[in-house]
Amino acid sequence: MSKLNTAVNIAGVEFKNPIVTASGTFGFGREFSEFFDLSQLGAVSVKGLTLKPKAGNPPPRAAESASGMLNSVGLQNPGVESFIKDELPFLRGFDTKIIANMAGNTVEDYVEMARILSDSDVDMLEVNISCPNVKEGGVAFGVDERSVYEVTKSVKAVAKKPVIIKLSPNVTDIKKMARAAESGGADALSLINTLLGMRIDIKTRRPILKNNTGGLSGPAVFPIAVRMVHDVYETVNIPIIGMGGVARGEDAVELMMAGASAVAVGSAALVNPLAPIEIKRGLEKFMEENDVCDVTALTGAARMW
Amino acid sequence: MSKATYNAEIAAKRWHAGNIYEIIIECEQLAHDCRPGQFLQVDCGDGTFLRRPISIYNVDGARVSMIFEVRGRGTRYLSQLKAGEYLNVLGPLGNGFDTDIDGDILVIGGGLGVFPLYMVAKSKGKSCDAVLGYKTERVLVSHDRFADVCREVVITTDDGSYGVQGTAVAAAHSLVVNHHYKAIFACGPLPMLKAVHALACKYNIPAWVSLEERMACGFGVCLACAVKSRENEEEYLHVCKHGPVFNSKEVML
Ligand SMILES: Cc1cc2nc3c(=O)[nH]c(=O)nc-3n(C[C@H](O)[C@H](O)[C@H](O)COP(=O)(O)OP(=O)(O)OC[C@H]3O[C@@H](n4cnc5c(N)ncnc54)[C@H](O)[C@@H]3O)c2cc1C
Ligand SMILES: Cc1cc2nc3c(=O)[nH]c(=O)nc-3n(C[C@H](O)[C@H](O)[C@H](O)COP(=O)(O)O)c2cc1C
Ligand code: FES
Repeated sequence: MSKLNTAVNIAGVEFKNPIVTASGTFGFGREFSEFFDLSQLGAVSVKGLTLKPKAGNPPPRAAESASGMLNSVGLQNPGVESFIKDELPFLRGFDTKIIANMAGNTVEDYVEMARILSDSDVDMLEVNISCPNVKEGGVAFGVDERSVYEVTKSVKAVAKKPVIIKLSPNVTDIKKMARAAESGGADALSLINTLLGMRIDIKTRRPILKNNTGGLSGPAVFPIAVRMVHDVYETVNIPIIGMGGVARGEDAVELMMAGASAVAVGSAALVNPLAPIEIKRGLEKFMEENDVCDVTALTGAARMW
Repeated sequence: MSKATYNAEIAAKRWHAGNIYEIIIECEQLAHDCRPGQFLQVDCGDGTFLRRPISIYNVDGARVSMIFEVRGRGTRYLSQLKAGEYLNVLGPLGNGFDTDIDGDILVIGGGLGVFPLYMVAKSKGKSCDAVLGYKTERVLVSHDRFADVCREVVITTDDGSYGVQGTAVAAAHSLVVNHHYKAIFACGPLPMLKAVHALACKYNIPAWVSLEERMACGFGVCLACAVKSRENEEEYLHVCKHGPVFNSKEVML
């Protein structure tokens, strides 16, 4: 078969392939670079950044559940300035696109970060309005249409890089949030963030997580991600970076068929650090075996009954 | 090569006592790379999503072994594996004990915390004394192997069914008074590690303790395994990356 085209264009930024690492499961790339060459990735989304350094929540911060996990890390990060100074130069050494993921307390926080990051060497901004683990994680913005619109519009007004709005699945109608982000000027959307959950230790009668609740991710959420990506794809005209439970090449294909233009791998990479590369190869294998020459042909290829 | 995932053949699986088992895998590269105090993230089959952190007990030629207690789904799965089957592990992970210290050292292990100290004892040989604390005689595991390599081994049991009755740290006290240890290495339940820290401070001996915390990745990216820094209470360190072995003065125990 002739050469495969795996490149995708997300809001004017060309990813050499659709595989991205999800924010919060990739750190700033150093650890993963011990397992594989980061230049093999289409893009990387870094740990969620805040304006000031953030210590995160008290432990325990992780709990297992059937086919997935809960986390309540609480956006522990060194702050946006330290990221630019200490982490970005290392990542820039790889031939991949860099997405800066940011979370704030207030619209002003997001605007300020967008300003600072616009002058840095990142390729795109990802506005996390959906972290369920901290009061100021933006989740308050992500569950209300007007706030989604307002944050998006304010960030877009100052951003000199394409803006991705990361949507929360913890809403009754994600289509409304997607539409609000699109009308606010979002260049792309990413979804889904984690679903709010809880586990209780039946011996101690206490939640396993010190934060009581945490965000559910991993294969358990995959069907929800597929449904939500599909719903959003039908609603908006901007590209979608799909995520949530992707663990194999076939999952990436499925999420693209639901409407994603690129696919991020999160929790799967925590248990198998080579997962992003194996998923990329699985996607290519599917293309070869099914005569798909251009990966972009997969986006939205599913036909509903 | 440093950390990697390996699909390793199980050379042997042994029952030791109670719910305690040993699993030995054949993996030359891993055996070569493992240091005392490091751990592996072990894939526990389809019924689990996250890997389970288990310390390295011993390295013998190309074989790496772990001793574990059955606690839940993952460790039960491990206890049911058989020689000839395969085990997927990620490692070696974390920073182990620094065994380059000159002079005598004391290792203090409590319960399952005994096992990660065996490689330390083996590498230090006759410049290492050990205090090993167990609940009761029935769960004495591996104490004879410490006796083979160490200078002096004191066994304690909570109920006095074997050795000295009482806690490992209480027994360690008299050893510390009578020797000039350059360092204490400890692993065990948190109350024991707190007592080790107090003992070490009292006699001004540096102590290194191996900690446990719930993990997702085990290699430093998810930030799940947080432990509060003692120097700066606004800061968390990470067991899988900065530890599992910490200077007892670094962390809030
Ligand atoms: C660095 C490190 C080294 C360890 N070394 C050993 C060892 O050598 N031998 C041994 O028997 N045990 C060891 N443990 C504890 C061991 O990881 C747990 O007993 C095991 O994860 C329990 O899994 P499970 O599926 O049987 O239990 P479940 O309770 O079903 O596990 C559910 C989840 O909780 C986590 N979890 C439960 N208990 C613990 C714990 N004490 N520490 C961390 N996570 C836990 C599991 O990893 C899993 O994600 C170590 C832990 C750490 C952090
Ligand atoms: C440990 C952990 C930390 C996360 N941290 C962030 C974060 O800082 N910012 C963010 O936007 N999403 C964060 N997420 C959500 C992921 O980026 C992703 O949206 C979600 O986990 C679903 O994908 P998955 O099932 O492949 O993990 C985190 C997820 C996990 C498991
Ligand atoms: S377990 Fe993921 S950072 Fe330690």
